[in-house]
This record gives sequence, C-alpha cells and structure tokens, in this order.
Amino acid sequence: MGRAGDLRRRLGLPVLVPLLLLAACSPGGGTPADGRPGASSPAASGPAPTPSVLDADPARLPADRESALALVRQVIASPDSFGPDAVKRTPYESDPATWPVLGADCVWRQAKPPDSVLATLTRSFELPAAGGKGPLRLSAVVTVHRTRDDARWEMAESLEETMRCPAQQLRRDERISSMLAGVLLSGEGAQHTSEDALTESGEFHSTELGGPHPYEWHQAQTLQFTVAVTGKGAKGRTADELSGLSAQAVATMLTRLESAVEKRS
Amino acid sequence: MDALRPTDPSRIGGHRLLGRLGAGGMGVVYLGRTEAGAPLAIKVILPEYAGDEDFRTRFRREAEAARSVRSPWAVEVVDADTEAGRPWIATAFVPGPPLSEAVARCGPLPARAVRVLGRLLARALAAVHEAGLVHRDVKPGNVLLAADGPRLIDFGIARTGEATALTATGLVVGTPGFLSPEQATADDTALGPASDVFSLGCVLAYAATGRPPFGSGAVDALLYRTVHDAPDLTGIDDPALRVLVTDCLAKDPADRPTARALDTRIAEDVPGGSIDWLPEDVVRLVAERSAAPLALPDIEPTAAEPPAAPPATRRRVLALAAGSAVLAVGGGAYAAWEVLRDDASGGASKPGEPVWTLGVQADLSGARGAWGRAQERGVRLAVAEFNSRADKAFTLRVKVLDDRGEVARAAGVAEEFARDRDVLAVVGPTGDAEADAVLGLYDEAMLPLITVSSLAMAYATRPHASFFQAAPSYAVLTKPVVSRLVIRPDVERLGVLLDRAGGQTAYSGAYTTNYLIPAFTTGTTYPRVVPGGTEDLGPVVADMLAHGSDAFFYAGDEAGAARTAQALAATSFAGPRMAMYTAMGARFLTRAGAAATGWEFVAPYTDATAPAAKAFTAAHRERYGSAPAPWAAEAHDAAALVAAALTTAAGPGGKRPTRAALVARIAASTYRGISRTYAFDKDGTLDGDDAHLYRAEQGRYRYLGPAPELGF
Repeated sequence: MGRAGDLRRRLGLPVLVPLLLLAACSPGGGTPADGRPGASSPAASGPAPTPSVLDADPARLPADRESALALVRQVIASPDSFGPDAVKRTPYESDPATWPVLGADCVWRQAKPPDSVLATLTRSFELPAAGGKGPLRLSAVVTVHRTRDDARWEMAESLEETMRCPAQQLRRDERISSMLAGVLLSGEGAQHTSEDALTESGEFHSTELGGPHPYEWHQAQTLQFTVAVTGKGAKGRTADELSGLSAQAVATMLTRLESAVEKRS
Repeated sequence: MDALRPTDPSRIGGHRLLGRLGAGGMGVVYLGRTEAGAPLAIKVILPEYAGDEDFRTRFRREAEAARSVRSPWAVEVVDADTEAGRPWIATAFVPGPPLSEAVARCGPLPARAVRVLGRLLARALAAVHEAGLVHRDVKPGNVLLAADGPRLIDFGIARTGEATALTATGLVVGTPGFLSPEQATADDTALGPASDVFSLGCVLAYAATGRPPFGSGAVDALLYRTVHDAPDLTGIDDPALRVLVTDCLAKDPADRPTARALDTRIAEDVPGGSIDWLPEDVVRLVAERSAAPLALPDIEPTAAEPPAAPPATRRRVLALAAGSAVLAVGGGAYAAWEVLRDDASGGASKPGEPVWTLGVQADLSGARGAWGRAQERGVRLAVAEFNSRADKAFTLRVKVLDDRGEVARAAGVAEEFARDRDVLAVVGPTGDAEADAVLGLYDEAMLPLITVSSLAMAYATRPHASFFQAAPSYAVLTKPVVSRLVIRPDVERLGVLLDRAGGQTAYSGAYTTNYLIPAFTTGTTYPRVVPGGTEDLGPVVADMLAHGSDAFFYAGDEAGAARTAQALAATSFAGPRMAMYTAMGARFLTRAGAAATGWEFVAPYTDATAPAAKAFTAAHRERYGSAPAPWAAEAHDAAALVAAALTTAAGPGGKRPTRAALVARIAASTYRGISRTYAFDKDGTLDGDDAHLYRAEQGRYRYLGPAPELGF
C-alpha cells in the first residue's frame, strides 16, 4: 500500500536544477540551430519531434560495420580532447564487440551489443594526480546505430537508467549513487548542438580513490550516432572541472562527426 | 462589447440596439442593426450637450457634411437625427481591426503595403476635404482594416473649417503623436486640410516602422518635437516612401502635398476590393475579426468608460486652469471610438492622470496561439477591472505584441517593450523557447516579466532577476500525481511512461514523479522512456504491466497519450491513470475515443466552471461571448497582481515607480487570485504547488477541482 513516507525535508527538486543548466550550457560544436532537415529520416514510425541539427550527405553515412568502425575512430575523443595534461589509460580501447549494459539489478556488465549497433568503441583517459589532486578518470564512447530511431532508443534507455537505478555498480570496486539526469532536445534550453543531449551527475565511490567524489556522464545524439563522455572524480576534483572537461570532449566529438558526414558545399 | 444597461434605449431611430461599444465624455456609442440587418455604430449625444444650442448647431453641420463624404475608403454615415431630443449619428459598422492593432500584433508593414495604404487613405481624405471637412484626428486607431480595404473612421470630431472658433478656447483635439504642428500649437486659425496630410504622414511612418515619427511619452515633449524636430524615419528604407512621408511631414502646411495630389503621386496599383497587398498575418487577423464582428475582442470597456469621469465642462475648465494647450483624446464628442479602437497608441486619460502600460508578450498566431490569445483576454479583463476602480491612482493600458512563438521574433518583442518607457511590466511569454530568448533582455531592462505558461525548472539564460513564474513548474506540478495515484490503498507501484515527444514538460513531470515516490512514500515505480513519435506503445505498456504497475502515469504529448490510452484499454488493466495537461486537448479525446474515459489530468490552470472563477467567467462571457479558455484566469491573476504591486509601489499620489522597484514589489507580494494564491520564492518561482485536476468523461473534460495538498 502506498502512503506518504518520510517527510523530513521538502522536495529535493532544486537538486535537478543545476544539472539541467549544465546540459544547457554545454559549449557548442558550432552547429547553427536552423533546424535543417536531416538526411536520415526516422526509420520507424510517426513524426520525429526534433529536426536534425546536421545536414548529412547520405553518401558519407556508414552503411556497414567496417565503415562504421572507421567513422567511430575518426570521431572518438583522443587525449588532447581533454586538454594538454590528459593521457591514455591502459587498456586504452575496449573490445569493439562488447558494450556495457545496466542490468535489472543495477549492476553494469559487458555484453554483446544488439544487431542494430553497427559499431561502438570506448576509450579510457586520465588526468594524472597532480598538485594534491587525485587522478581524474575519463572515458569516451562513440556508437553508430543502423538507424536514427535506434540511436534515439539508446538515449531513451540512458534516461531510463537513472530513473530505475539512482545507484549503480560500475565494477566490483566502483559504484555511483544519487544519480540524476537532465535532457534537452534540440531547441530546448538553448541546446542546439545535437538532436538530444543528456547529462547525468551523482557521486562516485571507489575502493582505490575513496569518495564520494563527483561523477558526470554527458551524452548526445544526432542522426544514428551517439557520443558520450564519463568523468569520475577523485580527491580535489570538482564537479565543475569534470563537467567542463566532459562537455568540451562531447562538443569536440560532435564537431568531428559533423565534418565527417555533413554535405560539402 | 458590453451589454445594454437598463437605462439604455432598445431602439434609436428605428435601429435596434444590440450592445454598448463604449462611452466617452460626450456620448455613448452603441452597436445597432438596421431593419435590414446591417450592423451600425450609433453615437448618441449626452443630454447635457443636447441642450447646448451651440453644440447642436455644430453637430448638425458636421453630420450634414459627413453625409456628403463619398469614398469607398471612408466610413459611410448612413443615418442621423440632429433634431432628436438626444441627437445621434449612425455609421456603417466596420468589423475589422484598427491599423494600430494590426501593427502592434503583426509588426510594421512592408513598403508596398504602406504605399497602397497611403494611396487609399489619401483618397479617403481627399473626399473628406472635398466635403469641406477637416478630419483633425487621423491616426492608426481611426483606420480600420476591413476585408476589402481600409476605412477612415470617426468624423465625430471632424468639423467644418469655419467651425474652428468653437475650439478657439485653446483646446487641442486629436491624438498626440499624430498631431500636426499647427494642432500642437493650437493655432486653429491655420488648421486646414494640410493638417490631416501631416497626420497621414505620421500614420504611414507608424505603419512602416511601428512607432510614431515624433516618438511617444510625455505629451508636452512630444508636441515640442512635433513642432521643432525632424521626424525619426529610421527603418523606412524604401527611398520613394521616405520622400513621400517626409513631404507630408513638412512643418509648413503650405509645403505639404494635398490629399488629392498624394493619390496621383503614389504610383502603386490599388487592388480593387481585396487586401492581399497586406502581409498574410494581417489578412488573417482581418479575416478573423470580420468573421466574428460581435466578438470585438479589443474593446476596452472600462478604459472607455472611466467611472469617475468628470463632465466635459469641468474637464475644459481643468485643462484651461492648468494652462495646458492640450486636451488629449477624450474631449471630443466621440472619444469613445478612439479609445475603443486604439490600443497601441494614444490613450484616454485625464490630464495629469498617470497612464502606465502593461505589456503582453504572447504567441497569438503560432503553435500555442490558443494559449496566448486566452492570456491576452485574461489580461485585458484584469486591466478593465482595475481601471473601473474608483480608488485607483493611475490608469493601466494594455499593449499586446505577438511573438508567434518564434525565438527571433520573441527577442524583437522584448526589445520593443524594454524600449517603451511607458511599459512597466509584461505578462508572458507563452512558451519556454521564447522565455529563453528574452529573459536576458528583460533582465537587462529590469522590466518585470510574469509568465503563466512557461514553467521550466531552469533556463539557460541567467540571471533573470525580473522573471516570475505564476504557476508551479512542470516538476512541482506533478505532486498531485503522487497523492492521487500512489497514496491510496490499491496502488503499490506506479508505472511512469515518459514519452520524449513531450519535451521538457514531460521530462520534468515524469522524472520528478519517479523521483518523489520512493523518496516520500512507501510506494515504488516502474519507469519507461520512449523516443518521441513511437507509434506502437503496446509492448512498452505490456512491459510496464508485467512489472506490476497498478497505476499509470503518462508524460508526453496528446498523440502519444491517445496511443497509450488505447494500448492500455486493450489490456485488462483497471487501475487509475493520469497524464499532464499537455496531453489534454480535443485531439486526445478524438484519437483515444472510448479509451479516453477515466483518464485524469493535472493542470496549472483552473476551469471556467470552478466556483472561484464564477465572476471571471461571467465577465469573460459578457465581453467575449464565450467562457474563458485555459490560461485566461491565470493571466488575469498575473495582471491583477502586477496592478496590486503597482498600486502599492505608486502610493496614493500615483508616483511612477521604477521598473526595478516594481520587480522588488512583485517579489515581495502575496496575491490571492482566481486560480491560486501567488507568492514567489527568491528565484521568482511560485511559492506553492496549487494545481487543478480534470477527468475525461463522455467525450469531454470535467473539472474535478483544485488538487489536494500532499503535505511535503
């Protein structure tokens, strides 16, 4: 039976606010917000509520797994996407045959992506410990779906994740908690760089690095592509620092994506 | 239009009266019908003037002269009785918006449209002048746009050239901003047809730029500029039009072209009987208004009928005693007409009485046009209500600008309001994207901006210290969903379906609901998110039921809600189901069909049938002929709370507060309105979570009442 429970404090709503602003204030990839129609129309169903922000050349869109992986490598962040101090971690790249999936038990596991994923790749980076600050760990993910609709479903699932699992086990020695997500479609909150942008933030706990430290996940979708960046804090690392680095890397990848597939005038 | 009063006659000269269009210092204007059914505007002179022989002589002469005006572009005087106990004059009733409203709503006209308008009005004026009349009050409010072309109206204060002695007392009749220099200096002996040509130049400049060429604001300064300064024609880029307007605005009457010469000088072809030379949105506005002549949504009844209006004789004395050369509008026998028709320029205030403007920035013609139009009406009713108060220290007028829900236009509207120093607060905008586009501009101007329907939790633009949300945010709004769906014995788990088609509203509502339930109740949720436009919601709904959802909350748009309702109706699910107001509309009912029944909705807006809205609904019906649409009451409340804050800030002396002072006053105010009680948190959001509930039943929405308090 449902009944009003813990009334110790008023709504925790204000917590959601800064998150939305973060998403809104992500630095842009330079794409104008003129709502140009996308080259790829949604494969399935119905009116697409968001016009694409990217006018793609159909000939430049990957059609098979091989060209999709080549595009992923062209777009995905490199250490310099996070500034001069970032370095590669080992292992640097994930096995392209797997991607992480959040189970019903709120534990992340590597699994084989669905057939609708043409290619996906994750890279790991680190801003090494320095000046009394702990190591800031970052990762970047780029995924090419078969259709724009598949990519939009990936965004839907991402948003669902914090709704069903505000606390998640990342790996055996790492977990995140108090997760909240904000989303902005193109045109909302002055967001014009992608069709859909998602920002998650919360607290990071690690056996090695302690915690709670700030945690951020930024993800954006345009056409059949998604790009994302994770930042895991450490001692002396602020949420602002994570947020700035993540947003910057997402913007870099969106810009690379744009120059890789847009119509050449 | 106001209803007839018990003291009003039911017929005049064989014409049936239908209602009051307005009243001024010297008479009442009625809407009537001829025996044949043609609508008329009938002006009836007050008994105190009817008894004045001089007045009657003048009136007789004017009526006679006006009847001799023959032009398709000048309103036709169809009947008059100058010898009746209460003399009256009837003209054809033109069911079109005045030029002032068209420009205020749709923006300045393109050069070609201004040239065509100029040519037709020149012809109308030529006819007036050839009948031996000088109009003396040519202004945007006296140019109506009918479906077949413009009409110059209001010969009420026009008088024959010889009759100027009657105003040799030094009174200026006309509207500041559109007066000629000779009118401004009250040099009546010099007042001839050329004065009207100057005013026509002002009207054309206004049509081309959206502002009078000598600015607006304090009357004295304005008249000074009219006499001494060059006109501001910035924005008239068309060289020929610029020269034409400049010539009309020559300071020396002898240097201006005659109306007849203007007609030949403007080479623009004049399309016969159509207005397709006007921009599309103006044509649409004209069509709307012509189709519903009796709705007359732009009447300002109480402004037209100041309850404490002193008799005109006293008014004259006041004007003279003040040594003023000016009696702004209101001194003429038919002041009512101009007040009725004029919204964006001119005004009806007693000399010395402050008149401040309340802006409305709304989407009147875009995707949320219905919301914006309802809000405009709510504001107008609130202002009318305020202006009818005997104890008011100032008069409010309404200036409405349509941003069409477009971001670029929204910024232009905000700039216009920020620039207009008479505007002390603005109600609007309608949508979130427009809000994001204008918050910085209003903040910079420290101009209070009160929205009722842009209810985002956060905006990209910061700071926005002058911004207030007069309704709970999309997030807070869903608290009743928790109380209604979860805090009950038969519900353990709420299925939350977030359809991205619903944008920020849906995200905020669904995410918050999902967050609140485990945090504040013993219940749980099962959330699902789908991309916007997902056609087949069956599998998702089935998954939600398979995971034990015993109540259902949908956050998305109308189309998705209808698909959800149908998917749910196809199962054996019998639990309660709710959605947000954004899914509540006619389309949901038609598309969902029988599956709509039983869905409940949480909304920020109250309903016309709410007991607290009784008086408002009656006033709305009386003025607009229909019950208020959603958001009208909230916009009314927003305007009323501004008027209340302004009253406190202005004090009994009616001292004009700064915009910043008004921001502070609104921030500190508590106002009990129709929809809820308003007070604001320090970030300008509504302090409180009062929402309203509706239920779909038998193909319509029934108002259930204010949502119960949840207590957290």
